[in-house]
Amino acid sequence: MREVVVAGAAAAGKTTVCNALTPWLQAHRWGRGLRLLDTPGLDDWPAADPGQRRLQVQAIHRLQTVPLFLHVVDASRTGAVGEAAAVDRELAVWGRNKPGYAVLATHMDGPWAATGLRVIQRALNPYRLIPVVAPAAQGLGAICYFLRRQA
Amino acid sequence: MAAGDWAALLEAGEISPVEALRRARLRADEPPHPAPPEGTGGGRHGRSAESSRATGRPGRDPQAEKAAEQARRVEAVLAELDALVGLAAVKRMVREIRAFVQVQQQRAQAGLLSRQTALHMAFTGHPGTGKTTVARLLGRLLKEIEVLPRGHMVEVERADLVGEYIGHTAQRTREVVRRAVGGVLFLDEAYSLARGGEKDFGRECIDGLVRSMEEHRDELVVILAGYPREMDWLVDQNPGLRSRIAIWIHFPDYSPAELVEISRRMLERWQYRLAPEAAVFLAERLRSGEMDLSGEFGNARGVRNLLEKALRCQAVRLTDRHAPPAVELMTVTRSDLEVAVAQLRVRDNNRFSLLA
Repeated sequence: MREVVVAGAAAAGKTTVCNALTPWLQAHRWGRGLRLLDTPGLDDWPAADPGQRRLQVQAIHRLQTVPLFLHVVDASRTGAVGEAAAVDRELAVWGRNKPGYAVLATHMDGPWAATGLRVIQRALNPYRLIPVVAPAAQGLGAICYFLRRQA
Repeated sequence: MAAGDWAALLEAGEISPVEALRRARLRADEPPHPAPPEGTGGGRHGRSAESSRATGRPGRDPQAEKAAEQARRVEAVLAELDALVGLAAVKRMVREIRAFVQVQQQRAQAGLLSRQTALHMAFTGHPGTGKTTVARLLGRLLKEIEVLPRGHMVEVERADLVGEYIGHTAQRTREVVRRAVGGVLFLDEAYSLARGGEKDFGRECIDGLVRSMEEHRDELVVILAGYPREMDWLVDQNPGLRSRIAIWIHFPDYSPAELVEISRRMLERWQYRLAPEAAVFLAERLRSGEMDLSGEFGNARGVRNLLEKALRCQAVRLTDRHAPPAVELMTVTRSDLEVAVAQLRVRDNNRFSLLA
């Protein structure tokens, strides 16, 4: 069973992507060999809840060991702010050292998302950038294609 | 640092996940058995280079070691310069100066004729565009590449130079130059020296300064700073000054995106953070041009004033709370920024052209 870490800032849409993607993976034999690891949001500041902090430590340990990494970035928020969050820039550096790394730009149906996509492309410069609207299942095919090539 | 330290610190809530990620990554990048730092001669353990030779370690060329150490220090200064937001042209210019000076030194070593150019400069730009910061870095850089012996910066303005009676100005100017020799003399708002008219002592000061620029050309760098147009006017008043200023560097106003980045770094340094909706609000305000922070009345200093005001608003908001958690002490909300903007608008209505 190969693991895929899904990580990113808080409220970027990691769980939504995981929930939407799981049935797609289950539909294929290669997909059933993959397990998505949903992680808690990593922020630019310490979390107030100790349980949350413990989960964040586990998430970073997972990131260190698992070679497949889906980095979820909220394109709408990034576009509104006009720059990539510090955590996303750091995660992009992590991603560059992974054999399988893709950035999923979520909330593409939100305001400022198109700007956000350009900001993400410029700031994070990932090998693979996939625009996603998870509730509408847009972009999930591209994620599956990416994962299949890695699997 | 011991392995896994970041995990303990993150779990205790002492560092942010971003910092933990950075530390974990740097740890992973380190070689498994890090070599002792070069150039220290094992100084941490109180061992001299001689004793290390006695233990059978290969001897090192002290000159090569010194050059490597110097290169490291130069790179450290340049890295600090690169860390400044924007200022691409300024950074290029500083690198040009560094390259030129180094090549001249190498030419001199090779027995070729080397041009001894004075490095007096004029920095033009609006307030808060980073002139003083760059001047300070430049002083350090020139020290590291052995152009200046000390590399310190003496920052003066008209009041420090111009005296109150005949003969006083020359004496004060000489005193300031004496303090600055070996480093950088940074003269802010230099054009004010020529403003007073024919009988003003400022002219006497300029003459004294021009003389010192020539006398100490190898051990003093004079940087005149001010608004672009006024600086042009200043050098027109004194042709000797124009011919002695070899390098003109213009500091452009920051773009709204750069101002957002500056505000983010400032808050990070002060251990504050913007709540996501506050970041959106600030970016929108800066980008929409409603708040004219660029130009004459703002840039980085304008952003700093705004943020400082917002921090005070946050403090007022938290006064009534009993022992607020660390997260709240760190967070600046959208309402704090809104109050700060509104108050600045009332106070400086002529400075900030906000939409009603």
